[in-house]
Amino acid sequence: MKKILFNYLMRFLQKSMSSPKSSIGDMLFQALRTRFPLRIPAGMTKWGLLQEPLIFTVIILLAGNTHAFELKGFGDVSFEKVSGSQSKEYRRGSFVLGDVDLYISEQIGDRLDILGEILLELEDEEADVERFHITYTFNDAVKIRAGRFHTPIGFWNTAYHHGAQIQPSIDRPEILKYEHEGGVLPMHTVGISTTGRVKAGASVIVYDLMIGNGNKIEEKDGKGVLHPNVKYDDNYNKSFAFSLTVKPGVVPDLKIGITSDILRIQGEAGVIPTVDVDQTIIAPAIIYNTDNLEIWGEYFHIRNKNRNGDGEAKISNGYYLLLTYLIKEKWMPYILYETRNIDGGDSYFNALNSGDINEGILGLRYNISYRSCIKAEGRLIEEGNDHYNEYAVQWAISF
Amino acid sequence: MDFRMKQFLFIAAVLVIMFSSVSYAEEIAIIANRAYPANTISTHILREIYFGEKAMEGNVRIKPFGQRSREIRKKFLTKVLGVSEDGYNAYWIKKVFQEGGIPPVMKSSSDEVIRAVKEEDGGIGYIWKHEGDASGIKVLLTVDVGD
Repeated sequence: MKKILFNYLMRFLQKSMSSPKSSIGDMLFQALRTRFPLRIPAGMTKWGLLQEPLIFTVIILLAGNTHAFELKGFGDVSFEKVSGSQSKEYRRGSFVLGDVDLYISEQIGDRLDILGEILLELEDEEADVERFHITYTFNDAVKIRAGRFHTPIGFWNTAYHHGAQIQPSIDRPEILKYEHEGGVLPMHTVGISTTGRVKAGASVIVYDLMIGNGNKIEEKDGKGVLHPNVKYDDNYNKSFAFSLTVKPGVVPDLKIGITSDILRIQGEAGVIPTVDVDQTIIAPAIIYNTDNLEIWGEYFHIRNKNRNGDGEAKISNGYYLLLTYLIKEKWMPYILYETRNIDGGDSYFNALNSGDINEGILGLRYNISYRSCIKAEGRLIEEGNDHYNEYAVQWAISF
Repeated sequence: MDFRMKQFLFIAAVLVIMFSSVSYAEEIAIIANRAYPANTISTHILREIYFGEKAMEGNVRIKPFGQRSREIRKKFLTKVLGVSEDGYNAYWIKKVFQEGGIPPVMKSSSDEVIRAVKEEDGGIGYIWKHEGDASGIKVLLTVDVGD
């Protein structure tokens, strides 16, 4: 039974990767029709409101009853209100159902582990394979990982990603927004990496070296959007990324790191303006974390060298600083300041329709339990010439 | 023997049993499979194992086991690992989501921990010290967890 369920998952992931527009219901429907042809009428092609979650529940129950794998996840619901801007989505005040993130992590051999993560994007009715990677552990210093993973740029991207409940604030910093939400950095990569942890006296060094398909910019609804080239690379240049983190023995609460990603990014036909740049991202970062106090700071230096025209290199940057203080494991006030400074003549950022932004956030988080929290925050935002305020409350859970 | 003497001996016996059981309950033994490559372990290394940072001992994949029994679990987490129960659970949610892997497998009793440790070369677990008199395992460390 475990093997059957595993096959299901593999097929599901394969279908999901090959047809990003398909809904999760369609994919599960097709998988179930193949496996249980008598249970579902052959002529059924349309899904009612109940059928889709029902089939999904059956899969989960089958998995639960056989202990084939443990499905875990994150979910959240928010209320957001914008004031001072007539162009923003939440100016009327809106309830926002966040994406549902489902993941599994299993040890399937003495040295073999898998991690699969599927994001149910409710607005677009899409199931996205966020991550799927296989890891072989040689020892603590060398692990080989292949598949789709979070690009090791900065600490935040690999630490929180879609887990709203484990993330201190309601949203990610602007500089780290997801590709499909107008993000400017490649947050996901398909490829292979080696990672490990090495002790040097009382200090600990953690590294990650990665090679993968570089991103491209695709045209979607008249806008340029970063795309991680999941199925094939659009050019011969691969993306190289590395991450190096040191936890010095003399200050065990401190983590200092530097990450980098070097890749060539081209725009597809239809993307305006034409983009063909050699991109180099260098991101130093620092985390100081005691039982109560947590300080995060990350700086992103982004250099885009144009392959066409003048060949000039354009420099942009972004950074954030986060300060949190945990009181009795329950209450956590936090301050987040972030900024993104874009070179206005950079074709890459123009194609992604991205400009300067400054944002200050003051928030309070209350941990109902270790699986559930409520966050409330106010934001002061300067986006180009648009100055406005946002207020948001979020209830986030992990399950 | 008169009634008062009998009463005294009875109370004394009860006290001896009570105190002896209290002393049992205040020490935790870290046990491992006989094939586990190390014969001793420090609390620092133990922390690395139970926080998922150390996965290998020599060529053996470490398989840590935990206990569902609230009393020993709480003592182990707070006195040996130095973390609260909620803090530990929250840590593992983050850890698994970030990197993959699995948290220590939970067992419902010390007998189950001993059985699981015996079955895995890299098996390691914690039990009350007085429960550690079993064949097929070795004791790597004992920790006083009294208040």
